[in-house]
Amino acid sequence: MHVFLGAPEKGVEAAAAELDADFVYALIDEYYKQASTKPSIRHRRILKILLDIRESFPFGCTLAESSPFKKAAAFTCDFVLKEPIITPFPATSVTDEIIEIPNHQNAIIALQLSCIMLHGANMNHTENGPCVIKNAIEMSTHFRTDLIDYIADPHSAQNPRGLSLIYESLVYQTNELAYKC
Amino acid sequence: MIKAPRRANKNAAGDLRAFESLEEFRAVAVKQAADFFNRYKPESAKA
Repeated sequence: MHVFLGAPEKGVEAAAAELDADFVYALIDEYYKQASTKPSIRHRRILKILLDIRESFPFGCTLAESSPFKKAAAFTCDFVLKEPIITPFPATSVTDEIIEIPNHQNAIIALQLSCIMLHGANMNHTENGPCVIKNAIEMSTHFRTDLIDYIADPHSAQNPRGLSLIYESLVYQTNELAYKC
Repeated sequence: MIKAPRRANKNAAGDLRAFESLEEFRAVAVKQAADFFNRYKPESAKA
């Protein structure tokens, strides 16, 4: 069993980051396979993103104390800022609106990974007890395009708090139980 | 890494999704990627 961006005991952070990296690579592989191209990747940056989140979590709490929304937002923003994937998606694979977004490839991979990892995430609310995010995030095609554009903007990426609130709102749209927490 | 927020709500700590294996994750990734490209593939590239 592996929890993406889990908070392991001291001393095993690097091993946990390497396991997380396997999941990031698996998603990149699948997306580029289906886009019929091969990506060029700055490999060291992927591990650095996953280590930096553990060593310097960008919210006023530790990784272990944070909500899944903050974890997903911290990952997404740092992934966009560090730009580990060099190769954009080919124009034959996605719409012109997406192709025109600079750094769309890193925004897409980070967003899509976050959506997977938020579906099935859990929260242990201090007042209302534990709850599980049972339903996947749903977005219209236009909303997702606008969100990719927002995430890819480096000014947005420097404010993970904004994206954390967006993730939380998206989860609440399809999860009444989460809303009650 | 950007250091941003002034205040953190610590009353809803939680974990992201756990996977039994990388293979289990891959199965989800395959389905998600297929759905993504079905929705975003340009009309001109559709057969």
